[in-house]
Amino acid sequence: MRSEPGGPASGLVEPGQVRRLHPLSPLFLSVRTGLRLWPLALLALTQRWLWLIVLAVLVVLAVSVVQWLRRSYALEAGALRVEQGVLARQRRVVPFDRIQQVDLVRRPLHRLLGVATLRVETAGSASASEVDLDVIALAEAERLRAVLLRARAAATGTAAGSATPAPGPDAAAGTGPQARAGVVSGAEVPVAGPAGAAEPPERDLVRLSLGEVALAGITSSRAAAVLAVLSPVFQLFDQGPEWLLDRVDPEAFTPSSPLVVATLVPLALLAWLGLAAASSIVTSAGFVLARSGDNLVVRRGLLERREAVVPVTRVQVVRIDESLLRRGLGFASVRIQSAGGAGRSDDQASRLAIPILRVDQVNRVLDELLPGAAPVPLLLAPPPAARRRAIVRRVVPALVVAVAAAVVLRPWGLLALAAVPVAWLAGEAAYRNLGHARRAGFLTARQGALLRSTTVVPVAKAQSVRVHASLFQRRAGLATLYVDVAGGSAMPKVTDEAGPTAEDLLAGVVHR
Amino acid sequence: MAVAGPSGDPGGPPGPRSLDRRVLVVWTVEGAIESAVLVALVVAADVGLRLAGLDLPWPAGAAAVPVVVLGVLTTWRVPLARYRRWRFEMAEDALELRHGILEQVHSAIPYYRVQYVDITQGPVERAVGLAKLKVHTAAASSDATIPGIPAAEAETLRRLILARTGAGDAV
Repeated sequence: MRSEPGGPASGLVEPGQVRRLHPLSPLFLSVRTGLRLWPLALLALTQRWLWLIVLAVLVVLAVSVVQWLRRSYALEAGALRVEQGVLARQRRVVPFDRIQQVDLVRRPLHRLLGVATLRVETAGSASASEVDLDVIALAEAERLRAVLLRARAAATGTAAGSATPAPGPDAAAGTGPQARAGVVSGAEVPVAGPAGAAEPPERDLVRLSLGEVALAGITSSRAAAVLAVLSPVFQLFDQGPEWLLDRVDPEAFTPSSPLVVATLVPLALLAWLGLAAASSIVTSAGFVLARSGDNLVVRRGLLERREAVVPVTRVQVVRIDESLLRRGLGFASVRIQSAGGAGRSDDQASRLAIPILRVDQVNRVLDELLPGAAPVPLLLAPPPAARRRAIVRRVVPALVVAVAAAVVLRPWGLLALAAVPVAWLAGEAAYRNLGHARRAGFLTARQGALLRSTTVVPVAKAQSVRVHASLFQRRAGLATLYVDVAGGSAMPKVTDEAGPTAEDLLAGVVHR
Repeated sequence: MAVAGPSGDPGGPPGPRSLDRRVLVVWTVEGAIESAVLVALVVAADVGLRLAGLDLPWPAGAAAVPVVVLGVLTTWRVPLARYRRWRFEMAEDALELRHGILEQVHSAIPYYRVQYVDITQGPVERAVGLAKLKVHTAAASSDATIPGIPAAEAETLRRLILARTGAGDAV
């Protein structure tokens, strides 16, 4: 196994050589599994079941060895191939030109034993790396990384000279994954142009005043949680001080008698809104969205100043959210989804969001985020059949819950039936908000009842497209189009459009 | 629509294709195992609660009946219906899949969006010589798994797909 050719590895890739990981791999695998079994270990220790510990160690070791025996990697023409699995076998093939990053990870135990973990990542939202060779000999890992990076450069270089930067930043990450802990993976972009020039000048796109930030908190969905107790209105608002909500248990505030409610509610409401405003100020005070060269920069935060940087070209989707309350006040909020390797996408999305924005500013900002997308075009309404679907979708669950409540909690439960007309109205509103437009390389889709969301996606950023039609939708001749984009959270979709229209949109994305 | 490309022989005739019939065996066996496990769990819970001294309003073991009925239905009828609906096609610009019984799905994955490809074989699939091909894009939500293609063909298909990915686009 350890008979590495060890040669200068100067030639390109020698295809067909199937290799196993380092013979110490089972050990590392066992340690990892063992750490996961700590509750069992603790139990066994306290009960003095030594035989159980011995047995567990033997089983884990045996399984790890078998897994190691069934795991191999090979370089073939144009791709890295990894096979693994004992019961279910898996063969993964990663083309060289899709490789984004090659990391060598060396933890203390790795250093001690002269081995390393090689991680290969491709573009995409998966949190784990696509290939994780745990572990291989250090020399082999370094050789493999050099080969992969060279093969990638060769593959992408010949192919229309796409603007992928040289493997410089990757190679620098040789000591560990720390380099990936940076803000957003696109941080490598300004390598090409301004080598001498320090920082390109910044241009502010959005700058929020303290009042606006406070308003963002007050009109957020979390602040509305209290209002929701007073009126059966859900989703009236959007996004807010989540960190605060995670710490407060609303159950603890549930009042016991109507009299207490009458006196406590206004006070609680006031206090709550104050808290909501304060928490919004803590997270977003001094919010600035600026354009710096090819990058978007977001800075926010009162105590801890946070900065997120993302190249404009990596913006995948922009979503404009308008809750009923904010619409009434003439405000919206904007979410920017970018394709980034590092960090959870939710986390990233919240860092890039514009918490509040005057409606008359939306088109200007949208044009900066997605050049050519603004103004939001007039949207095509879905066919009338969609109206019924929108209403039925909301009324049926409301009816089920209301009837159940009416039966179980006899006298007062009947009040729950009031939810049915509300659901009807929500369905009506949802239908009126539905719409889509395909214009100049952008697909714009709008939906939502009280919280109206308009999603703008550049067709060129679509990874794949799907048309779904449920049994009910098919009966009404409708379908929903989903656009899959990198980065995860905000998935653009055109709900309840006529079946053929949805298929046309799909074809339009595929043949763009 | 037909591709007059280099894919003369191995990809089979152009146009939508259905899965290998043996996938029925895979789905039936897997469904049966899943149902059996579910039934065992329900029976265990039923018996366990009784042993713990709880008085359940139905005769012992009756709780498993609906689960058994549901299991039989899904293992007996669903695989065939699924099989009949399944089509995949290596179209000009994209891999296109059509499947789903209640919720019908048509999904298209442009070749240049393909990041990497997995071919997996579970124990049952191995026994009948089938494999599953999964195409990954940069979006986690992409639906691009073709179940039930002969193992050797999965390999060919994978080559064809990767041969068409071209330069790809920056994400």
